Amino acid sequence: MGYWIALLGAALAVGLSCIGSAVGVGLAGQAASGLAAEQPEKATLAMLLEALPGTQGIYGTVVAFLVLLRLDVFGGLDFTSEAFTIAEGWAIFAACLPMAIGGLVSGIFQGKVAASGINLYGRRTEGFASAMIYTSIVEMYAILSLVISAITVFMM
Amino acid sequence: MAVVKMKKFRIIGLSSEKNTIIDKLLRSGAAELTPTEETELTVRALETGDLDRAASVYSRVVVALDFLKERQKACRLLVKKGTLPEETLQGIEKSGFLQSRTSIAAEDFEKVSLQEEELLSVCGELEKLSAEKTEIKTRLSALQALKEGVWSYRDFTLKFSQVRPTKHVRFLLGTCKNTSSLQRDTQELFKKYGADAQLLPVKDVKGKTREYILFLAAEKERAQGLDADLALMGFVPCPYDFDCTAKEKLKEVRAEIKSLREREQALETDASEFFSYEKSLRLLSDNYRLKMELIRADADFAKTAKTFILECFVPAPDAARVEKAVCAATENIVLDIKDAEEKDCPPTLLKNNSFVGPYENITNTFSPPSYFEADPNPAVAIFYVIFFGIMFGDAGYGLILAVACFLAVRLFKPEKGMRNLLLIFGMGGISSIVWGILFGGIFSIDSVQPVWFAPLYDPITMLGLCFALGLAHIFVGMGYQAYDFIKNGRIADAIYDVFSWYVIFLGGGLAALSLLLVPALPVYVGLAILAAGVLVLMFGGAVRAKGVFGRIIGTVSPLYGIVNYFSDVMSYSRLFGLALASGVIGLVFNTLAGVFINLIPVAGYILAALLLLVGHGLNLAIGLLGAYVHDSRLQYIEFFGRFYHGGGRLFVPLGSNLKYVTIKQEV
Repeated sequence: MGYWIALLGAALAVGLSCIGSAVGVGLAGQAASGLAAEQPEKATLAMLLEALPGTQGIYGTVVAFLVLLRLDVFGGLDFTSEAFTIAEGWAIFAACLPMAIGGLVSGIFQGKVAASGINLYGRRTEGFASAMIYTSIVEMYAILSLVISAITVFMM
Repeated sequence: MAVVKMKKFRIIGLSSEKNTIIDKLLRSGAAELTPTEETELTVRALETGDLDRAASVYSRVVVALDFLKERQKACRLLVKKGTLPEETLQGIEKSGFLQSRTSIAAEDFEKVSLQEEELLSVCGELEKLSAEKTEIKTRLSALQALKEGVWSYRDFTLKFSQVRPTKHVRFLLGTCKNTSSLQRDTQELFKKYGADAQLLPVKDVKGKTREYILFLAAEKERAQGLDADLALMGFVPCPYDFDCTAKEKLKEVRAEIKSLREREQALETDASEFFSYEKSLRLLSDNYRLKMELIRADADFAKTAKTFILECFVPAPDAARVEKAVCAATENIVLDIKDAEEKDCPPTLLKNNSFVGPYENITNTFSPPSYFEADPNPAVAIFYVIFFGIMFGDAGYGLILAVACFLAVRLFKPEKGMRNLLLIFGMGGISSIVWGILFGGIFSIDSVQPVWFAPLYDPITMLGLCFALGLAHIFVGMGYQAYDFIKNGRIADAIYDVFSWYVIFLGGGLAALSLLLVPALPVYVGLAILAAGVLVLMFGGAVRAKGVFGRIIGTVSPLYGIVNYFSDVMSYSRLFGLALASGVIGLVFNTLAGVFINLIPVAGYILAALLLLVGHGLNLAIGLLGAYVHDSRLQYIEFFGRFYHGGGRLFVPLGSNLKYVTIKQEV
């Protein structure tokens, strides 16, 4: 039973983070297409800004993968596993939550900042560095979520 | 390793010799013109006529160059297809990937103006070709539309001009959409108006009948209201009155399209004769660019009827040779050289060794240091390379990155900005090799043993390492701040704001050490030192505040700084986060590849190889982007936030602002 609860946690960590990233990259991507239509020479760098909100999905994958490693999924799914108690399962589930929630919300907001950053870059070429920094500041919170989730999953 | 000292030159000379002097400054490659101060006896004036003339020639050349570039692209395509012979491309100069500007002697640069007349006539020819090309394009699209229109009538055998009313009969020709009620509607029409009509199906390329040709004859007397009824049926009258049948017209149009296409292609060949002029045209365009720059600068010189005053900044190491060059050019000048002062707003020129130099890119992206500020680049370089290595964090990736970047610099010799970026990545790659070996990360292979420890299995040590490095980074930043205070005579501020914190952290560190590792050291030693630091800090806050209430607040508020330090240090946990992310993602691909090999017998190996190639490539790219951005952020916010003002203006010597060439330094 604990096994399944833990798997559920992994699913949430990767699923919600990926939603956050998808929304974020989607927002930034629209802004980037708008920019590329008018100023094609700026398309490449705008792509870098667009890619930034994509990291939450990656962090979510990292946490989920760590859980899968803990559960030894790659040694084959164990349908009768009693290796994890329910309490242990919930503990791993809880450990996944920071990444799930942090990744979801920070991904969306980072996408918004990235989109306005792309607009900024469109108007002022030298604004690119600022746009990068503004966007990466939001990322901090995804990283903090990742660090706590990863440490808890692995230390438990 | 620092901001280069600037000298300010003030040259008073005869207007007749102005160009000679400016030419000398240009050739020195070390003089930035700056507006002169007005005096009562002088005027400033912008020769707008000159500027307009130069600007119009410049834009002509730029447009011609663009056209030439397009034609080269088109010719390359045609040669590839085999429609044009290889020789067409002869005039094109080879240009490589990441090509930098070519260096050229000032003499050759100026010599191009002798060719100006010839080059401008080339521009004229290109403009003609461009106009012809546009004309052909317009005509072609008109013909295309005509062809499509006439095509519908291809089965109609009369000449268009024959469809003409006679004395008593109206003839109508046109098309109708194919609707289910068309047949019935026409029958009714015939009855109503006693008309005689013929419906011819028009088959499209797929053999479907989408519309019909309607050819109709009606007595004029009975034809009242016919037009309105036809319009209701969606009848579109034929707009053509050519004196030939549709088939003949189609043939004619096709022939014209063909000949226009041929002309269009011949035009590429015509244009290809001018390919060899590209180099000279580029020189000419740069020539005019400089000319415009000089006209604008000239407007900022103070002038009298016969003389001018010119001021420029020259880096101190170059001052002697520039002075010699200018004085050698003429005797009729007054030259005054002094150190640049704050009110002059001197530009910043950074001089760093080949390790630190590339990192000027990072700092300048934030903001170049002001002339009066210490150059932060040495510290930026050291920490950047360390942090980059940790975040990128894989010896295998590091090796690939380092080899790729250094090779690119070697082979393509790119322009300075790109070169610096590649060098930063290359050095980061080397740093990653070191950290990868320490942490046991080589292509995320699980079985590699770390030399030091594996971050994934010992995250607390890893976090400790990140925080320690972060603290060191912040301390160095505070050191810069203290240096800034002391240089400006604010020693008390340095003690209260910087050294007190050093003492606090020293005390805290000692206390932690005795608690955790060295029980022999009494805890109160560390605590006493810490308390002393706090006292100095509080005292400093109180002394500098005003009023009783302000002093009370002032005593306590500096302690709030501890929150700042805490959050800044926490921020370095990203080093761990990014290293973890790229390490584990690599592991994901390795694991999946293993699964493929186990599940699918032979093809599994191929699939696994593909997956590893794509997966690790992707991971490398994402890791590179992350490391670059987050490393920059650590410099900008956590490090620069402690002391850096920036706001400088980079030194841009005369003649360095060209697009295609750089002028070789002489004299």
